[in-house]
Amino acid sequence: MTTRLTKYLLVLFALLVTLAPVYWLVTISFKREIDQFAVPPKWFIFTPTLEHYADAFIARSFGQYLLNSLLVAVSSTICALVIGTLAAYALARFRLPRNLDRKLALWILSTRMFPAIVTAVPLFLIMRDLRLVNTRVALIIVYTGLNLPFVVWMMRGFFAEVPRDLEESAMVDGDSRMGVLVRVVLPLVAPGLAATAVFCLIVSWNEFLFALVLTQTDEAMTLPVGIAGRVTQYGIKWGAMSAAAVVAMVPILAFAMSVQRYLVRGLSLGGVKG
Amino acid sequence: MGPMGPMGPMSITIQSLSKSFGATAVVNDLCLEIGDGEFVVLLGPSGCGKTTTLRMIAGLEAPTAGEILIDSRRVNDLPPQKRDVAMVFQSYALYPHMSVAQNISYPLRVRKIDAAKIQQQVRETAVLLEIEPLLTRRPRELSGGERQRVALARAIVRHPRAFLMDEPLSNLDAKLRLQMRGELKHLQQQLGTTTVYVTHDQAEAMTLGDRVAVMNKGVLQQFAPPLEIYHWPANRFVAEFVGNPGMNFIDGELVGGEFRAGSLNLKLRDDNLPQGGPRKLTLGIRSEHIRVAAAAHDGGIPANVYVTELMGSEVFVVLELNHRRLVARAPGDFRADTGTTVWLDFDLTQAHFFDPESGAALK
Repeated sequence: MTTRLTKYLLVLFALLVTLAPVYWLVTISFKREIDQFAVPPKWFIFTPTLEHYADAFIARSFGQYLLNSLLVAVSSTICALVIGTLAAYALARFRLPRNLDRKLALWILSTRMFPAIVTAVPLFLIMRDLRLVNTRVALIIVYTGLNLPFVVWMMRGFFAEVPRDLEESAMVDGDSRMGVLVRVVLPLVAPGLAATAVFCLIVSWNEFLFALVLTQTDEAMTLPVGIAGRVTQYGIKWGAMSAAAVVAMVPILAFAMSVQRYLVRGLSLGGVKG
Repeated sequence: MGPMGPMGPMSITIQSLSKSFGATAVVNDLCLEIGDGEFVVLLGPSGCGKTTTLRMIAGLEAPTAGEILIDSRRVNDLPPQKRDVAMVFQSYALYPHMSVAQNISYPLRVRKIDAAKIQQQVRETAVLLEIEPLLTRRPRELSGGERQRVALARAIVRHPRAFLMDEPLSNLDAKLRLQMRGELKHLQQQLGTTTVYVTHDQAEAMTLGDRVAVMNKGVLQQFAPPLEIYHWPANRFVAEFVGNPGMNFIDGELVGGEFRAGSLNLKLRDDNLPQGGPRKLTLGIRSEHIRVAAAAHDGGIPANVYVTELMGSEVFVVLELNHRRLVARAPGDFRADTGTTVWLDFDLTQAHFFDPESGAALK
């Protein structure tokens, strides 16, 4: 009985720690500026207002940033999943001479081992020469590259767990290699695919550095850069930033909840055999 | 019964087929001729290359050397999709995310056959294998025997020109295995489809095969009908591997028409003597050709009882003779305590002789 009580108390404490900042953020977005930093803090009772939401999405371009973020995150996730899954399948199933398949996999992983900022300037120069600075395409390309190593390694693990017999049986049954991948293998690794997709989406959604370097205009800017842009020389627009941040959380939360069923299975599946 | 594919069953010819993985030779210079509609069993201990051979016929493994011909056409470079054979895997390899009906229809769906025809063929096959009530279930909801039937149904449904089966009964419990063995034989005779069947179980090989190819360490030992394999084994390995229990062997030498091994002296008739063989040789005799008597009698050879194993209709008597173990079969009512002496009669007209060096049978 007491152990159970302790358990619940600990869970409550963990929840409090995790959710307090989120609660603070959400309340700030609904508080009048005068209540935001009142001393003592107005935890629960304040006059709610929607002025910051109006400010962020009507007066300023947060709606455009949101659209940019959605386009960039979804497109780059789809690109990374398609390319990465095909690469992972090949690496999991085909043996190349001189252990080249393993070396190739390690090389792909190694691209994640140097700090991202090292590539920021070269990437900017490449994108400038390609006339892609201040476009969403530039971010889609960069985020696809950023997520590829992760997709390849995650999916390679999932593919390795699919029994070869199934694929061989399907091929003797008359299906092509690609048909086997689509009809037999992919449905079996769907939980893994979902988990990988969520991760890619979160990375692209939250990415700040490359977005800052590569986009300076409202037409291409994503939410993280847009929100940070409200820190100005005249003051910090806490209300508008909070309102934008609350809206930024919603799509990821919705997506994660909709694939949660797969997510748990996918992550635990990957945990058993890496 | 059941319409054949447009071409009917196929013949499979294997010529000097070899396969090595790195430095290890798994199959070595294998030659087999498998006729139209024949049921051929590849028999051997694990690691003898029988499964690799089957996978090479299916196209899942590329041969290192040699040819595979289907109806006299070389198929070495043909992918598995184009060989028109169906394979039943040891693990059944049912697609876990598909229902039984979807599993069975898979080979038809990838061939883009029209839906009405698919449904009709799936139904016919399900009726044939008595799995109609299971069509909407998932593989994980099936028992081992039911999965086995679904795997067979998926192989049969498209009327392939040959079946390749890799130990399909080995995951079933003993009783079900016997039942499925009979059904499989019946089904193959009904359909008349060329079948290559891999097993390590000599009883399965004997009961199922029109001909049995015994393999050991990648090398074909003998390829003949089951009874020929049993009664005229080509070498010591085949004699020991086929039959339950395997053949008994006694090393000795031939001196003037007598076989001598220690205190054992067996007088052979001239027509039982191997022609032109070496002086030293190995005598082989099956357990049913050793008669055991509890009482001493003229010509009986004394031996100690090591243990008796009751099989119901008969008794396996394990004997010790000159520090060698022999197994004899006795009628079901025979009893002898461990350590007691019994008397043996060898039916030497049924004896086999083998070269002790090469193991080859001597005629």
